[in-house]
Amino acid sequence: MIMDREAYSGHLDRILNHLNQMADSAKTDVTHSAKRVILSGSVCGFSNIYQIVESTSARIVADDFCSGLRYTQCMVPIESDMIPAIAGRYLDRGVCPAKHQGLTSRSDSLIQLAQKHRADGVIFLLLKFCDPHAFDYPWLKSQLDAAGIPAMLAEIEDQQASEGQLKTRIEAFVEML
Amino acid sequence: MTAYYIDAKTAADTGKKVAWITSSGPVEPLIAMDVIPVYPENHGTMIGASKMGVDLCEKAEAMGYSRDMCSYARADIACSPTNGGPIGGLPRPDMLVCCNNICGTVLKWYEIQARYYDVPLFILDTPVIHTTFSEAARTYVRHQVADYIVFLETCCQKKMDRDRMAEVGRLSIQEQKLWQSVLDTAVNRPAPMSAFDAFFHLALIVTLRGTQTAIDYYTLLLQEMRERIDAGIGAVPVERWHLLWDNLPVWYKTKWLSDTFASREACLVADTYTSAWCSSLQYMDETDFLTSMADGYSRIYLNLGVDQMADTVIGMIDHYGVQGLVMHSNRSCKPYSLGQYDIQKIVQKKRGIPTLIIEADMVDARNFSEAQIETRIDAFMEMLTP
Ligand code: SF4
Repeated sequence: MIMDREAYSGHLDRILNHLNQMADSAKTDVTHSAKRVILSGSVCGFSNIYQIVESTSARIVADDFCSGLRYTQCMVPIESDMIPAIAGRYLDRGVCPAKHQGLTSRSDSLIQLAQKHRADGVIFLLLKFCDPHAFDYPWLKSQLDAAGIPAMLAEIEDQQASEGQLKTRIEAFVEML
Repeated sequence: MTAYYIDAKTAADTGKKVAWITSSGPVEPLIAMDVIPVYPENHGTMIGASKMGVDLCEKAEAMGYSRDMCSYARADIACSPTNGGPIGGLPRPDMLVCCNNICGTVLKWYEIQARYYDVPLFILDTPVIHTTFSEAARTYVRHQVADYIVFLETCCQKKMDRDRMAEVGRLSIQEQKLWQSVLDTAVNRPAPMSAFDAFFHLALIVTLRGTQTAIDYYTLLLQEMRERIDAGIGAVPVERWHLLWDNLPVWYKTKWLSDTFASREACLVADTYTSAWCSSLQYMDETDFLTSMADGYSRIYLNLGVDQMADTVIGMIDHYGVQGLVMHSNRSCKPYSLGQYDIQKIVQKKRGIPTLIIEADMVDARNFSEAQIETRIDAFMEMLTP
């Protein structure tokens, strides 16, 4: 979000190579039997969540964060008139839940994401006092339940999650998957 | 109000349609279309005043809603499946009309109810006016007003009668002027009414705006206030201090707060909350109501940037001649409470009067500590100077 574009795209190339190598070696890795989880929620200000989840027998296969997948979703078609194209992308991508985009679009896309990545479960990581996500949560949870996808909720204050407790809860959740 | 709720609750028998609408939403077209408007937020005030808030909020929390969310929303969402609250739940809506000029909360709340009742939802999106109301924003909102009429015509399967619409608009403006005159009577000494009276009399300007009933009510009320002024009757027995209230009332504690201030010889003569229902009068055009709705509904107190809010507060401090400002930092209502500390600083700098911040919640009584608030009120009263 803040890095120089030229430098960033160089890094992206290297990361892509690295990920491809990892994917090759993963074919022989035993952890492919790991539980597959998706993280969903607001801006993720608590990056330790990745280590915490992956320190259990789970692997994070996708995310639905404001600062993750939803930030990069949809391409701006570069051949067209740029201003309308950029505006169009803002309208097309999954919006922040503070804005309206239909009554079921968020649950539909979360379930699609879970199915596409064959996820075993969803972990909601919500920032305390972020109302739009807090309002959406019961509906999303009910729709995941109906689709047979277990979910858990962790509400954290920015930067201040109690890691030990969170880890215990996530372990219990992953075990149950 | 009783007649209004009976009308609303029996709408299904009389063949009338019911729309749920946000408190500062564009109600006039509904009246013109003969649709009964129902206000979940007004329902919230009744829940709060009848002290049923905590129970319903807890029910919402059991449904998965966070305790940090607006208690009007929590209480209302919990009422739907339980038929709870003082009137056994609101009548089922045929449509929902949500205007986000007060907060983003109502958008999420109405999405939830639109899914629950499976009815059409109309959203009037009024961009926040941080500094000025731009031409682009005006055009954007005007287009939506046109869409709104189409939405209503589709839901009601009839055309809007434009003459009737103009008449309702005229009544609405007349009522807002009356309401402003009622509130203005509190510039007199003694003040014939206090903010606590305004909290009570507010109900009709919210729910029956654009009807003759409301006109008759406020005409009578204004007359009564004028009689009180002539007779020198004040709202509190001894009136030494005049104060301004900011934010929503604490519905389950209005009597206690009113007594507490009155016993300290203070009258809260005005407030930023009830005056919000006439705060954009200057932008409303009697001769072209529908077009002026974009400005009228966008440029209300809660949709303004903090600097403009502070200007409004300072304007009221001067107009009502108050010696102190009491701000309710309302845990439920973020748009109202977020800028308060800044407004407090601006007021202190520009007017140098004492300010008090009371931390509470309008409906959820778990966030109210009587002893603590009483101590703070006492400390504040000592700082006042004539
Ligand atoms: S958040 Fe504030 S403005 Fe919005 S519904 Fe709640 S009390 Fe009203």
